[in-house]
Amino acid sequence: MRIFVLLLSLLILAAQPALASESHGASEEHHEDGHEEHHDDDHADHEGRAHGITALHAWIRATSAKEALLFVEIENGSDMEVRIVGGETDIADSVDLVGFQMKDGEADYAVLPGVPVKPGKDLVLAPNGLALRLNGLKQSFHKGDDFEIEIEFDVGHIEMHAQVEAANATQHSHAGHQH
Amino acid sequence: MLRGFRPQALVGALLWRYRWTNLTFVLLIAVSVGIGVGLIAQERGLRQGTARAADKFDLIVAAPGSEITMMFAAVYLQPSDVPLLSGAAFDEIANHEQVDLAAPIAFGDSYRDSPVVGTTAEFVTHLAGGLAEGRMFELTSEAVAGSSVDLALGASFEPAHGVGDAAEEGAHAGQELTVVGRMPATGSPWDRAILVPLESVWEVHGLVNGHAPERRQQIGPPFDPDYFPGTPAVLVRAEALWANYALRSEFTRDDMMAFFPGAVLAQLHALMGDVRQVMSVMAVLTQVLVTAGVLTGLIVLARLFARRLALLRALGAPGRFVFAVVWAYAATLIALGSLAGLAIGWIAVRIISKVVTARTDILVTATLDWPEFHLIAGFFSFTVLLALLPAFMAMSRHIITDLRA
Repeated sequence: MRIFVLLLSLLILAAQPALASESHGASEEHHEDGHEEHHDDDHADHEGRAHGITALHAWIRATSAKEALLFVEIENGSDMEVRIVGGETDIADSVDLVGFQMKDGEADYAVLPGVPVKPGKDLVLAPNGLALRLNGLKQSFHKGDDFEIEIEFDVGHIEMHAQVEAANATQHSHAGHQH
Repeated sequence: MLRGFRPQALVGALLWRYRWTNLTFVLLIAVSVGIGVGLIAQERGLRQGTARAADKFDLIVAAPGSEITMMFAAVYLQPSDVPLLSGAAFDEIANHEQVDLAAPIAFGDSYRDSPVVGTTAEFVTHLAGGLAEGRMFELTSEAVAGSSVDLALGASFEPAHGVGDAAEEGAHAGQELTVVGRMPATGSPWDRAILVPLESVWEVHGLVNGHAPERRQQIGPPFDPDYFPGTPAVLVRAEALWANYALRSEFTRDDMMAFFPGAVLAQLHALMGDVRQVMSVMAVLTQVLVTAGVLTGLIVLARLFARRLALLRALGAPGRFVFAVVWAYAATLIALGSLAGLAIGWIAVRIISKVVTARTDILVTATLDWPEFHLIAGFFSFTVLLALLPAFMAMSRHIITDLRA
């Protein structure tokens, strides 16, 4: 009887840390300086081009939740103003363009109708800023996974691959590398 | 388990009999719970307070540099030496079709411990709504004071060049400004600031005042780019959120930077959150240790009155009764400790918030909310379960041995 009681108590004590605080989202992840060889297909995977617009380094954080935020760098190389309006992908039910804002001291992402990018300018979708929110994810994602995303503009769309980075990543692992 | 029994009287008697020991147990539990509660509530209060203080600052445009430094200077009035935006740059911002509000924020001077900031009447209205008393400035010698500035309406003062210990009194001797209005409280460092027309800041420094000679008496926009000495920051606002993002993209270039104070703050908050997580783990560890200590103490206590309990059992009380008594005793201590912990946490949080508000001029009002109640509920349920241990042990003691003790 006593041994049972002792074992039970040890078990319960061991389980207590699991009852602790909420998990937190982003924290700095140090840029990994693994200068791997870039094959030509890898280059193509990191960017997509159409209508004079280049989309670079699309990524999401690893997650098993129902929603994910997709970040990407948009360069408007054309000579007209273009507008990013949303996206489409097979791995989620719908995609919304959202923007971060502080509401009453709490973080909030609001759906936006579209954001214009003037010719020659960049628009960066990054954490705590703009993002494409993937709603209704059909699977969970781990670091190193890959999927296809179509980014929609008012002039057309761009298809490209998106990478899955670590769950607490704050940037694409190849951010800063010139293509 | 308790059907047909009334252990309350016995539990009450035990509680009273060992009241000082019990008080110690309750206090120990209360302090450890209070630490956990206080930590979570305070961090949330700080987060919300700092975010609310930055609420009115949608987009800041400045000369290229550090976003955090500029945010601390323009939003929280912790000024630094920063380069200026030119008249041409300001003109471009102010005349952009999507910009609804473009207000210069020219910090740098001070009076005692109040920063003196040059801006436009539009900014004052945007920041604080209407004025609490008095009227808006109309001349370059007039000023509007924040709600906690120690100057009455009609009082005059001389601004010092620079801020804090490095301020040079007498650098602007002879330049007198008079307070003509006062803003309502905003819960931000701006309550401590004195707002003057932008033209006044330039004039006080002996520069052209932002308007061509024929419009020299004018206060407020439009400014003439050729007569615009510069401003460290501009608050920009568009009605729609998407427009603010478009403006940020457009004003990010070689000669300017644009950022959302909200986003920069979110990054700082994430850092605070990490620190809070580490401290939460320590708080939980404290609670575990205290609980272990209290339960050990209870086991020892249970041995102390083992004889009396054995007597009761010899008289016919079933094992369940002993179990119920010991468990109810432990549970009462834990409940009292948790409630006291809640109270201690609440008081601590109020005191700390007052201190932080006084020190930083950011209104911090931390209150207890569901996360704290969940923590207490979790702690209570868990430790009450743990308290089954001493109860079991008390119940399974050998009656004869105890009677003979």
